[in-house]
Amino acid sequence: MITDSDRFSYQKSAYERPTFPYVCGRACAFGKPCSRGPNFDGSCGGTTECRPFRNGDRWECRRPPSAGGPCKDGPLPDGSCCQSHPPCKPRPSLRRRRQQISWLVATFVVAIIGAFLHFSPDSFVGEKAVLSSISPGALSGAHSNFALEEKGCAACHENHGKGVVAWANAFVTNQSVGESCVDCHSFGGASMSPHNATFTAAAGAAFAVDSPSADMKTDCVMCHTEHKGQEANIAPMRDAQCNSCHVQSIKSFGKDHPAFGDRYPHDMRPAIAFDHTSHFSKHFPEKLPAGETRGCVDCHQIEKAGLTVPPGSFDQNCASCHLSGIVDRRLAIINVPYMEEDPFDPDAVAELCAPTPEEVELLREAAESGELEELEPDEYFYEDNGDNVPSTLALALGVASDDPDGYLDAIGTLYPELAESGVDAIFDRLDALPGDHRTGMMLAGLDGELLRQAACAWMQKIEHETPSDVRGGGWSSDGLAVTYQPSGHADPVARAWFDFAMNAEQAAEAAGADDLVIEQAAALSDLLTSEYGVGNCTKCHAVTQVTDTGTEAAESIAGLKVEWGYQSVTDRPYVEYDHRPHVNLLGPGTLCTTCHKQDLQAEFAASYKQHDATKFAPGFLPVSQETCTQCHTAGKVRQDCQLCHEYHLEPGFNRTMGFQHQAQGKPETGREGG
Amino acid sequence: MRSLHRALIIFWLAAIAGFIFVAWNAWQTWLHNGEPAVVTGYTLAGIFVFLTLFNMRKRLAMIPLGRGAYWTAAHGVAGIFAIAVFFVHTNGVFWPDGAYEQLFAVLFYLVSLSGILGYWLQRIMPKRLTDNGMEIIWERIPNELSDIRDQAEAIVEEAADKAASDTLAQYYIETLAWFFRRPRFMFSHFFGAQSGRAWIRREFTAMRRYVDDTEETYLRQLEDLAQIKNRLDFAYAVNGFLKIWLLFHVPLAVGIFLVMIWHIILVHVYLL
Repeated sequence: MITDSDRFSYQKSAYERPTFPYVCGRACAFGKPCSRGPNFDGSCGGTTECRPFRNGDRWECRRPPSAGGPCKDGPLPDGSCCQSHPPCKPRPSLRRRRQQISWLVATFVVAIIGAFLHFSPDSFVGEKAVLSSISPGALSGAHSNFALEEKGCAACHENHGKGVVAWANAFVTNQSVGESCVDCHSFGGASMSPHNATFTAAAGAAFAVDSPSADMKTDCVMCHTEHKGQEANIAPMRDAQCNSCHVQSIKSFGKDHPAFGDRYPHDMRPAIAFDHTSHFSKHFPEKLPAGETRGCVDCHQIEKAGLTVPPGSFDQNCASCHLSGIVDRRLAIINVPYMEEDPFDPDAVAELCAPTPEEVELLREAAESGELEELEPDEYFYEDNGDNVPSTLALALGVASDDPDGYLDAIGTLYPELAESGVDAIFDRLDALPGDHRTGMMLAGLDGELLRQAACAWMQKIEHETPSDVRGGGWSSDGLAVTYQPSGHADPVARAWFDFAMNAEQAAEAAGADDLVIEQAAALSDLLTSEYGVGNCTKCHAVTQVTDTGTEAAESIAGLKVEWGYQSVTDRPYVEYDHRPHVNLLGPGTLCTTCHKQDLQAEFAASYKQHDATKFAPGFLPVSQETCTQCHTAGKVRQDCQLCHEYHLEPGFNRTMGFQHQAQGKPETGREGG
Repeated sequence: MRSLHRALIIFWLAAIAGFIFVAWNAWQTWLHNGEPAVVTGYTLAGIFVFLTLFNMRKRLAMIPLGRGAYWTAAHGVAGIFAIAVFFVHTNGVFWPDGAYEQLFAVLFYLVSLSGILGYWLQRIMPKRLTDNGMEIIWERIPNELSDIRDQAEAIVEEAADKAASDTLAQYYIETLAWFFRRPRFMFSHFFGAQSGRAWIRREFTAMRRYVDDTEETYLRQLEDLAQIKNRLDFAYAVNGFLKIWLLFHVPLAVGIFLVMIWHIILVHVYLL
């Protein structure tokens, strides 16, 4: 007993077996446990006090001293113990119970995993996909319906659903989850290079081949980790991550961000040569009613503010003053040329051209009045009325526009063809010229009958005018020339001529054309870009040289282009700026001049007399970094890298998610895929 | 004892240094656009294996693998280390999104909580057992209770003979038999209250006015036995809890080990 200081004596204390899986049932009921205890299989081992031992011909009691020693009566004659008890029901020890519960939990866990493994995420839609025992979480909103796609999980995880062998193989091989992203996502450069950049040796290139990053291979999953829930933002980046690659570490925008450029944000000449200074100081005061003024937001559409605040359309902003300057510039395509002799065969002309109604009328009147001799053709018609051949026709014919001897034969050939086949005669000649031209658009709307009648009239030494007035622009004959009048702004025929003419000279040179053709191509370009050019387009639209950056060695000039539309900023693809919160900070228009201050001394208009868009004088002073740090600084407004910089180059999509609607079988409205 | 204290300090320093290294490594890996969860995950797996070895160590007591006290201390420190690394691994996310990861998290939190509870018990209970002044093997307590009960009943019988009165016998049957039948006031003992002693004092004081001098002697003997039995009850409650909490901790640890293996398989098959 506990009060016995000698209780652990071998004669008093039973041997404890703590690792034995069962304990005596009597002890569990706080009774006197038997000395023999339960058996290993859990049955009662204490139905008798001892197991007698046969010594010679006698049975001896073997009850241990701790249980009282040999009993007085001793074993029965048959060798069994004389003291028997009803058996108890041994119970598992704590250790045994722990083991049992452990097995139970293990079975439960395996069963749970196994049961939910059966339900592949492919079987679930949206949030239910997370119930699968292979899904670590729901996909983000944009990807949440991937399970509906034909491939399901295999769209990203190629070994999904391919069995145990594929899993075993996948376990020991590298997975390439990120590579499947580009099945849908597209970028402006290599998808697996830093910033999707192309590393070139070109001078001035943003990413040079000797950059440490040139050999670096990135992977989408480096930054974009999925399965974090539908609401998860899977594109977070911290400034520290940017600094880990960038050689120049930037602690914060307000502290050590590199200074903006000398002309920031005006690195490129605007597509439209709108001189803010002259308009505000001269044109607006002259044209507007007294007391009326114009502000920034009168032309710029703040409701469309984003990276830029685009101006309104031509019709909204410019037409009231500049439309007349467009429609009164015509383009002559054929005319009555100056010729010292008549190159046309009268018989052939008579055969080609039936008498015109005017001629019939004249003949009838002359016959009635007896003045038939006065109807003799004017033999000086070409000398008196003729002019130089227009550049358009000179180029098509490959002759000098001011060389009557040079173009005499060509005219002598062309005009009968015009009389015979109409537009085809001029179309084929233009189409045969070298260069990138849209001949169909250049001659769009030109009536073959108009050409035939004009050619016949001129070959018969008679002026030809279009019977009715042409309204709204188009092709017409004004007596001595067939001309095109633009219908208004953005006239497609005029644009087609400009697009062709800008690079006609270069194309002719490249094609090894005759010097005359090259000269006339240049002359056509000069004509169009002059103030007399059709539509006077280049008065406002910049003509910019296009460089080919695809070459390894250096940039080369690929040609010229007329910048027809308002161009968003494209020279800083990794910069993003949103005007909206800034414009609306203190009310529309109130803050423009906070950042955009006019440079009244800049020779802005002169910049458009040459074609290099990088060489220009902005009409505004540069925006300094201090302008931004007034607000974007520690403790005020965000100033992290991603606020203004975008990691990817021109992110986009290769395809849309239209298949989802089909897979669901219930088309949804109002949702755009992709 | 001093060497154990010194070892505990070393374990804590090693754990803190290890955590700083793992956290720094994860941060650097993340900065360089790597996957920090790989290093932290395998660190966590290694800690789990080490924690499991403690159970093996107890089973292999015959092999000299260091003192159990050192292992216990190392197990506790490693458990805290695992909790810290776990949250680095999950990037601070407490509740994951996927069902099986939620199962993982639940098991981990339960194992952690039961481990912290066990660590706390291991720190305070032995001292209370020592203060009890009675060293007893927990598995022998039922036997001791039985002996005490037998002795109490013998005293009652003797008192009835000597005093020729059944007052004490009636009192035993009606009141004391309940107390001597099995351990009583378990929760009171576990939480350190004195309900058992109060009950004994109240019952014996009330009884004392009804017994004569002869019976008073036997009553005092019964009270002494009751006090011993009360201390045994205390040992049974406190020592028993030190064993019973493992019924939660160990099975949950087995469960988390299985989910961890599943997690590693999935990560390798689907991501790495």
